[in-house]
Amino acid sequence: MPEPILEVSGLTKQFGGLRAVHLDLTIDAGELRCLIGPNGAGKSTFFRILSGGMRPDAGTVRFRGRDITGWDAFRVARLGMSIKFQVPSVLEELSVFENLHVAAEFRFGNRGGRRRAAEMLEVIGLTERADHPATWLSHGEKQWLEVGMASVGEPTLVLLDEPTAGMTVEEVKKTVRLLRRLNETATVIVVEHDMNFIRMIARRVTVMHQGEVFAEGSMEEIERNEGVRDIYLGKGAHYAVRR
Amino acid sequence: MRRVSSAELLSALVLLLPLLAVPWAFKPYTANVLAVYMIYGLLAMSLGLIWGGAGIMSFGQTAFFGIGAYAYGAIGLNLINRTQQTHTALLGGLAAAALLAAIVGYFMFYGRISDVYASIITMALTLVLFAFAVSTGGDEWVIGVARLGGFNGMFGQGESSQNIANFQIPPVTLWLPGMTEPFAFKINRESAAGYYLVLGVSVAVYVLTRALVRSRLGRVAVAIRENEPRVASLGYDTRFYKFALFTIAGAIAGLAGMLFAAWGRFVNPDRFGLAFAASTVVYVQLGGRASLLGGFVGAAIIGHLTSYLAEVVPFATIPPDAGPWITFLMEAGRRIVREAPLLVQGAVLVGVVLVLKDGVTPPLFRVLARHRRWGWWLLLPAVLVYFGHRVACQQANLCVF
Repeated sequence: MPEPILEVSGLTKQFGGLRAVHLDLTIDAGELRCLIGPNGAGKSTFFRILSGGMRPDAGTVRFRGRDITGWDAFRVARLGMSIKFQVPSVLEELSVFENLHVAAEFRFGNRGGRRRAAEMLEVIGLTERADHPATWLSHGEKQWLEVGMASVGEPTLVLLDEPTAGMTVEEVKKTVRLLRRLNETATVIVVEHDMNFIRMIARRVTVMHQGEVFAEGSMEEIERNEGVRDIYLGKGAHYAVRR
Repeated sequence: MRRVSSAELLSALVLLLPLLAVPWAFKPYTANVLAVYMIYGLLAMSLGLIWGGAGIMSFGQTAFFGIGAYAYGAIGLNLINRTQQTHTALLGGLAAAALLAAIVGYFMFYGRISDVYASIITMALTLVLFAFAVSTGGDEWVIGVARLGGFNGMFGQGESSQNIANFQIPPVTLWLPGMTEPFAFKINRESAAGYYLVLGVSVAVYVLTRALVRSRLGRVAVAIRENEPRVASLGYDTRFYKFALFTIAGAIAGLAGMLFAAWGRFVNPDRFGLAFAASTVVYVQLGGRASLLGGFVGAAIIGHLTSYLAEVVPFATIPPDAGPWITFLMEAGRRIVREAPLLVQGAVLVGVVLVLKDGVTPPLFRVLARHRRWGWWLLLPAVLVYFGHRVACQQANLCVF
């Protein structure tokens, strides 16, 4: 029986009259969970609350058995949660290696950080670009670098917000391999729009809609769910799909 | 990046060699003036450290400079006649500047004030201190024998003698165990010890700061400059890093202030003033904040330019046969330069920012890094020949250039 690593209950965030997030969710240790939903479903807001970038109005977040609601981002990170933001936010003027080194140094110190950073360069396939400033990287390479930064500190839980946005099919395949590898040591939650990508990796999928959990299940169950097709493709669209 | 840094180290060495020879090669006056450029350079470096390093523009870095100068002055005036040394004054000045920076930094960074406001807060701080220092002209503003003196600046007043004897802030004076008598680092016709003190301190602080920039603190600070939320999400308490760097920069500024008070044996409220605060920003912007040497280069360029313009141009003789327009222009030019060195600073700054937005040092280092095969073999002998010539001609009292 796997232990829950993340328990979210009654988490609410209000923007004026709009309730952006209102949900309960449990993630088990070792899971690779996909979070999908149309634009404005509250996925990114949810991530920002989890990682300490934003305070919720109500509800609690328990991570590794501790109540981390409203904690500062750095404390959440120290407890073993890391995040890749939706917009690639690497340290633009630092070299690719320095980006990874800063990310690794926190846990492994200067020397150990260097070794881990070099290993991570191999994993994300950017060894040849190690000395280039991160700002020279392509969009896809920046995404990998950020996945690398999020995982080099050996976190227990990794939040990935749209890791394949703007990638080619080949790049998406490489990202899938990266994620599988990451999932061997860490619990991973992925927010994604790309259904092909979800199909490639998904074990369990949670659908969010208007800030709430709309459906949860395996990819096949979700694809069969008519309500999900309604919110994704608009009402009436599933008739076309059925025919 | 690493390339630029090694070029920086080499150019620091090339700068250092002739600087050691300055008291022989030039008049004592030149060493004296160079010392004050270096003191300003040290202040500018402290601003460059926090501005270039962590992206926090401290407009009022002069607040820490001034506090260091005043604290050194007050303690030094009181203790010099009793203990014959200024060790306590040096420690006190450094502690005062670091403490002020730590208090201000604590409230700024742990209060989560955005970095834009940091420049406004520090500027307000230096202006408040200016207003305070100006208002201390009365007889009640006395610390022991040290009178704060308002606009007139700080001086000491003999307490026991019947005629009131005024005396100045002491130069840095050491009396370490094993020394038979105290040694004062004066700068005058007889001694260049004060110059070497300033040079030595500048080099030591530069080396230490360079090590600091390459330590974890420096690396994380640069990362914070690039993207603070990202760095926080990696587990770093960014507030602490900013606070620590700001405090260290404040202490360096205070050290520069102490050297300043000991150099001129004087300090007045102008060190807290807006013009001086702005000059410091100009030095860093002109020299470039990507490198620690930028502040020194900027201070030297502006300092040399203004003193050259103030000395040479106003006394340039207008040829007797010049037409009325030439006479008018020369006269106008002389007056503008004489009245407004800040105008010149401003013009230089605008020019440099338009052409090189990162200041003069980065392109300089790029050139040196690209041509390092032979660049140094050209530069080093040129510098040595020039200084050899200076030393020789100084003896013969016949200097052409």
